[in-house]
Amino acid sequence: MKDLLSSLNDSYEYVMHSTHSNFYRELYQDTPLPHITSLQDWRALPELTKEHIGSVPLTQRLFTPVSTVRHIRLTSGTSGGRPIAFPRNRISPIDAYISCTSAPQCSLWFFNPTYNFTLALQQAGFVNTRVIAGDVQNLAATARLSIAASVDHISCTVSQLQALLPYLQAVNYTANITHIDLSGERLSLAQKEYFYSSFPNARIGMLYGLTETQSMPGVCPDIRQDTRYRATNDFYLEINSTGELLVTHLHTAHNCFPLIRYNTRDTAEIVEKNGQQYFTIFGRSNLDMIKIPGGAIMTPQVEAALYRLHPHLTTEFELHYSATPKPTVEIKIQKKPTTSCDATTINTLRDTIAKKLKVSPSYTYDNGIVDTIYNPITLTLVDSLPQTTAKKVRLFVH
Amino acid sequence: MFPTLTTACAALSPTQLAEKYVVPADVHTQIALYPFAQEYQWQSLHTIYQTHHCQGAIALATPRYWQLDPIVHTITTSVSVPDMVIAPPNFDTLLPLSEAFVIDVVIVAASDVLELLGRYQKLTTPPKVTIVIHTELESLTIMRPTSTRTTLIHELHIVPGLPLLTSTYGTDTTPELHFELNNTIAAYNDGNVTMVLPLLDASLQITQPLPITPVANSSQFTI
Repeated sequence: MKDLLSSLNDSYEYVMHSTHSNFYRELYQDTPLPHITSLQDWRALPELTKEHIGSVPLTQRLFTPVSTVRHIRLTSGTSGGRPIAFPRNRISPIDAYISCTSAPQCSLWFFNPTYNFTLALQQAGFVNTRVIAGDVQNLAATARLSIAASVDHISCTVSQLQALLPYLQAVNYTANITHIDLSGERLSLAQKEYFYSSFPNARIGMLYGLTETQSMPGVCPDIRQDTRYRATNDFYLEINSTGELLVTHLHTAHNCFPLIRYNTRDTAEIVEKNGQQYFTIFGRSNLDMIKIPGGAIMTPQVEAALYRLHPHLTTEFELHYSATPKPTVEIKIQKKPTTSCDATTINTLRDTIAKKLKVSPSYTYDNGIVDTIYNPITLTLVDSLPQTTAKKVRLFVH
Repeated sequence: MFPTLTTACAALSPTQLAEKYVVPADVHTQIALYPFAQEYQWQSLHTIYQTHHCQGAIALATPRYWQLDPIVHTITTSVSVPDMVIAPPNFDTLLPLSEAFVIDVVIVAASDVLELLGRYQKLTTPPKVTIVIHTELESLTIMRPTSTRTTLIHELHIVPGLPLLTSTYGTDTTPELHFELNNTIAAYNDGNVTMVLPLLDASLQITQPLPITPVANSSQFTI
């Protein structure tokens, strides 16, 4: 505890005594403390939000000289609101290659800039590995370059891998991939099975990274072993009163924009084992959860309800929710090509989903129908749902 | 553009490409990779940045599969400014990026330049310089947009990041563009250009007719 408090205090003092930026002094002006001496002190600090960061010009939230900034990148804007620019001046050496048990020959990265990852590799001792950029606008070119470069490691989001897969299959290259690191989105059970069958020789890991940070707060080296993320040494993680994950940079010296109690808007659960934090992400509080009377509809619960539901159905879905006049849910599920289900089957599936869909630990959507709180589910099977290489939104409120 | 180069690059083994920055040897086929040493400097980009008294960031807006970001980063590091990556055709990110930090140079493919110039209308301060990369000579002869809001500089690249021709500075409003030949790798002789391209520890010589005409009493050319 003493070590943790000491590290938290170091981060706090770094930002509060900065000669470059008033950012945190202004944020904490109502709760100034000379030092952090307890976790109670720490938890009294206001949370940092993306909206607040976006309200302060980038050059006024730099904690190192502007000449040290090497790269500027934007948040995706998928969570609503304007994209926000974040500066980078530091390379984190190892966590980016978490699934790799040995040096990959060539890494295909869909994140930018690729030189960051080349440097990370070099710092980790993987000096012979090349890094090439994946291009979501030119996936056929990306697949051809992957062959030319002998790519054996891919790092991308779940949606990007789904989009790239047909192009790699078309050039018969999937068996050459030995390591995959996924990030950006939750991976459903069905997607996990799909990727393992599509990439028979790949070990798959998950990274929990944020555009806002300069390194990865969480890593999961092999999702066959454990689907939880292990918190990395660069961060302290907390859950706030509404279940959202807060991240704090530790070892902040020379960090051009350290985050202190930053609210990620991801709902999560943290467990500690032997002094090590592990965490599970349930989804975005503003994208993957809809609060409804009696509980909430959450993306993982919908995925669980649809898992292995019917052989003619995929697990791609959209859920549309309307609160008035009475809570009503319509679920659109993408069916497999050239298949169909009759009306009786659809009604059976609808009832099965209602029974499996939990809105709280001990209450299902079907319970709500019986209690006349909710209208019955409307189930529609569709040939296709919008494809995207960005973060996918599955829950919609009308 | 140069089949001999593509063939030579296709013969390189993965081991030979270790510790190199690689770009497509031909942006149209993507079947082979041209290796750059990690120390390679895109010299004309550096010169353009200095000549135009730039101090802001360099934004890279070429297709991601061109693999240019490490090569641009070498230049931004040398002048101590940040770089940014904009993935075409999603130029929507240009506005928030330019609001966050002054952008002085944007690098774009010839096929995307008109779309990009249209976005400049929304910027309070458009970039001082826009470098337009052509990968085909034909595009250089046809595609010569003009702009009063930025200085357009055209470059013909042998592979992304390796210029053969660079239009001379500030000539975007003149009807006839003049070009400098990259004399570190190329020489002109009576209608032919001989290029000596570094290829790992060796070099590859290619001589090819090029329809450029020397400007009298000058080191420059017209097309």
